[in-house]
Amino acid sequence: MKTKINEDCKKVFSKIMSFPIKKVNDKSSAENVENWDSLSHVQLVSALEKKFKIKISAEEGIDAFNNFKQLVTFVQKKLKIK
Amino acid sequence: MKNNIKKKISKYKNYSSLVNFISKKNIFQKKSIYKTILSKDRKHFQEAESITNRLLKVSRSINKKINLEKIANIYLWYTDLLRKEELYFEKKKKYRHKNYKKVFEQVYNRPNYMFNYAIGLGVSQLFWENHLKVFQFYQKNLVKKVKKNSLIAEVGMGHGLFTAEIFKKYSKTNSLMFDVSDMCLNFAKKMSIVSGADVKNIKISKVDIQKKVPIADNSLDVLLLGEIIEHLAKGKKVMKTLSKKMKKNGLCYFSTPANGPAEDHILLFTKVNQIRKFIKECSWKIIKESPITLKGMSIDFAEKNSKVINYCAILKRN
Repeated sequence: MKTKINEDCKKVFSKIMSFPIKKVNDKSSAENVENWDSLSHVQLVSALEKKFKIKISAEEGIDAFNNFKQLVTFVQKKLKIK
Repeated sequence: MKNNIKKKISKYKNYSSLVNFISKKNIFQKKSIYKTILSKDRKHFQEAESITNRLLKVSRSINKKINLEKIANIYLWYTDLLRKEELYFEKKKKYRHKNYKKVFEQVYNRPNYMFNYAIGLGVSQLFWENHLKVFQFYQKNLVKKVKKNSLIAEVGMGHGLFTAEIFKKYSKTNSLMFDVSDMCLNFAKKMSIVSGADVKNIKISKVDIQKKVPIADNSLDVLLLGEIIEHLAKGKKVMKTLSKKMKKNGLCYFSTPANGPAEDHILLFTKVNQIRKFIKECSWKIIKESPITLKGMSIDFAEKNSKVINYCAILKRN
């Protein structure tokens, strides 16, 4: 299950950031992914909501994650997967 | 700070410090600000330094504890507020608030909040590509055309940098400033003074323009309506009334966003044509206009995908 979530997160992330899926790793962050800016972050949060059918409030969405590893952990928590 | 960035801005002391404080604390801002810096020249940085200095001076005259690091923090608070609204808008495709009274209580009626708001918005004027373009449009199409001894009015003062730009040209311009917030009136008045205005020529009025427009008919040479109409519940009524206050050849600078969420925006436009229609229905004609998008998006793409378009125009009464 965790692997599937990780792969799905990669797909969403890669699409929104126009970033090669093979290069997405735990350390992928706004520092090293050129297109990850405040505008694409909004799109990313919205895309994660749709993909995983989860609700992310505007308040938590703005700083819930700063890198890909945190993103996956955040989605897992939302899906209540330990 | 990267060496190439440092080299470009090190001469501009306060601007450079502000960039440094913001960049250290927020990666998104850092990326966006660096991009802006790399595309700008000396003239831009001179102006940016001047705006930074004036913002600092005005803020300090209101709160002695303010310094550049605090201004950076306030700006980041402001950008967080906007990002929350952007997330809300991305999901709901509508603004959070419809009720003016609620917004008034939550935003305009809180002096400290408005102080921070004016600073945050003022700093955005230094870094945001869309705000820079809007300001250039304003300088080129309005400020350059203002004549000596004009009577100018601005509704919704914010940081006051727009009226101040006219005072930089003519220190003895007669200016009427309207706002519902004492703090913004005070901030804007001080901004004009530090920009060269003679205090005798500034008249401030705390008034809700939706209830009362204390301007004589056919009296205004220049009217500034920058980013105000989206804050009003009775925008149409206000626009119609204000058209009667203009002299026949008076110029109005008008700007409003389409798809531009903020916690105090009520009136939502989603297309440029809606804005044009609104203007015409309120007895104005468009002399010049410029719809500005982010990241080089086409207007069509921005409209279809609910992305922000900063519409600015020069109007004359019909």
